[in-house]
Amino acid sequence: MRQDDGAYRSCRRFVQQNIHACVAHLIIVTALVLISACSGFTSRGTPPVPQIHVGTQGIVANFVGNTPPAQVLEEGKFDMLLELHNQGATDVDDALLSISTNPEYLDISIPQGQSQLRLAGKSLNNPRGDKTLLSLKGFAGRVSQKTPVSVPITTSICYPYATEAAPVVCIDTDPEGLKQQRKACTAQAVSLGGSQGAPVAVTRIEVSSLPHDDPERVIPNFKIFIGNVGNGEVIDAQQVDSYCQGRPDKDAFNIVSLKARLQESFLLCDKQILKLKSQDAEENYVQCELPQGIERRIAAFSAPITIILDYGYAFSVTRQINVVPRERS
Amino acid sequence: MRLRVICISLALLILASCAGQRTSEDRGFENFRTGSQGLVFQFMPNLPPARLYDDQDFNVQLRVTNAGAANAGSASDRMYLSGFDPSILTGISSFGEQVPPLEGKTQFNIQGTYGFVNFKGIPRALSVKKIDKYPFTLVATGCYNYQTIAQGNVCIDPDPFSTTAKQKACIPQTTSMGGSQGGPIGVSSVLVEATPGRTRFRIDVSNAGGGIVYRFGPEFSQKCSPYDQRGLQFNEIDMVRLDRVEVAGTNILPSCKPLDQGHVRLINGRGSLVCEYTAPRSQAAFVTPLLVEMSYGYQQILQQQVEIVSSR
Repeated sequence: MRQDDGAYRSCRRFVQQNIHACVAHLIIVTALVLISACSGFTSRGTPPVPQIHVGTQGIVANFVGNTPPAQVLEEGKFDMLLELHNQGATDVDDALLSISTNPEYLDISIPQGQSQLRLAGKSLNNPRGDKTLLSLKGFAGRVSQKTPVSVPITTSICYPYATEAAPVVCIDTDPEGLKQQRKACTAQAVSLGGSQGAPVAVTRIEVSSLPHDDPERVIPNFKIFIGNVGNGEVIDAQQVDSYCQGRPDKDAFNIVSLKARLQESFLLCDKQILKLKSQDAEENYVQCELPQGIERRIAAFSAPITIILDYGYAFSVTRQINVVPRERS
Repeated sequence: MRLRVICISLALLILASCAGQRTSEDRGFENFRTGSQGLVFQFMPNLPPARLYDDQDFNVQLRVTNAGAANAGSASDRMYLSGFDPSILTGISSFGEQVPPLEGKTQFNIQGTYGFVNFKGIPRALSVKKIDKYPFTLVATGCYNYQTIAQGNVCIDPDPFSTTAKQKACIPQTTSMGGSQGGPIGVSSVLVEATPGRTRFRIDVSNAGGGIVYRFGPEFSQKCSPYDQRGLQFNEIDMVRLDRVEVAGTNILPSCKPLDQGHVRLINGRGSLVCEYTAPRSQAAFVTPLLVEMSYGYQQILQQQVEIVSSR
């Protein structure tokens, strides 16, 4: 009993001695929590602007969940759920959906009126872009052999698309540095990282100013590098339907048309149609300039150069299905 | 005893009040020709804002403080905005805005005066150009004519190597002027070299204001504009006009060299010239004020990042 009493007293003494330290710790922790909460509020002070022209995809197709199933019995039915999402910033009114497989073993039909789709791209009012879900019915045919047959199902979505890039470049009206003035910016290559809310992107722009016939003007010159940054195939915008119908022209691939504008004027480019040569973006460029030039009297300034690329794009997704034969007596 | 305490307290009180009065008198003669700034430009908070939508007006207000000792605000003293695409941000004149008349510091106003310069621009809709946002560096350029009057005491000894054992009032030596005389251009030091009958002054001039100095005059202020066709040329910058160098009431400017059409050329923000004063050898050494008056144009630049965001 006396031992218990002693233990109680020493415990109470310990609490009394440490109570101030405990209170101090509690105050510090509370203060830290409050400070971190306040700093969070400050950082949220400026509301974020929705990023529309970002990302490297256009319309992306994906099979949902476990559809189609990994295996299906011969002469059996199966379901497929296909999600189509316009992850880019261009509205598409007439995307064409096609499914190809081996007709000997599988028969998949697209419901009436669903092979042509309309999917709006990202915008300030629709910052995620349109998404749709298609339910498809499939039927497995008869397998003549006794072992399962692996059959690929390829779903393709073909659509006309556009890339709108507006990188801010420096227009240096005094490239020789004759004016003794600190410039707002210096003309240099602008790397865009290839993310403009579309599968084909402007990856880099090299800017320079060339002499004009009029000594009071300079000609802004741009070397615009373009690349396929998505996971699909670039096709001629005029050949979208024939690609999805399985009969594309051999010259239909990697065709991009380009228009560029600075201030209120369209730029004069060495080519309006660019054939992307390879994955190496260094080879894929167009050289453009503003022939009328810009007055030298205006000091160097930052200006957006609006580049519009038009093309067709095809995105495909493939799944393998094993068609398993039934046991026959 | 009590009377003695009262007397002592009264005496202390009187002494304290006298001391206080002397301090205020001192303040009355405080040197106002100090500091290495002329006009000081500052963006007012949120004018311009760091980010604005394209359906908002673009308002810029700059506070201009005359922190130097010369007056400013003539018709050619102007402020310009540049660095933006005029097809996106419209309504900002390329002729700039005039700096309001601002009196410099005086012995009665050691703070200087200030005024405001306003700009109003109208952004064009970015959605028409298919742009989400337009970031740019806004450059405010201030161009003004200014004057510095540097004053310091120097020792003139017309017979520095005399063999007679005469007590001299002073010995010629380098005089530091501190380099700040109420203007961005100042005299940093004066080296005094006494020879028999002739005293040479090496006057060191420096640009301590952080801006670009150019030739004095409205025609050069026009060239200082970021919208001028030719802009300031190599032979127009780093030039300070020397108006007067006075020793013992004599203007010794004609003796000063090297001068380029009356201008001192600064290299890397520094320049120097040598002037000469002649005094009869019979005269005893004496201390006299040296006065240097300089005129110049000055360009001060201010930058701020701005982003215009599409509202649609």
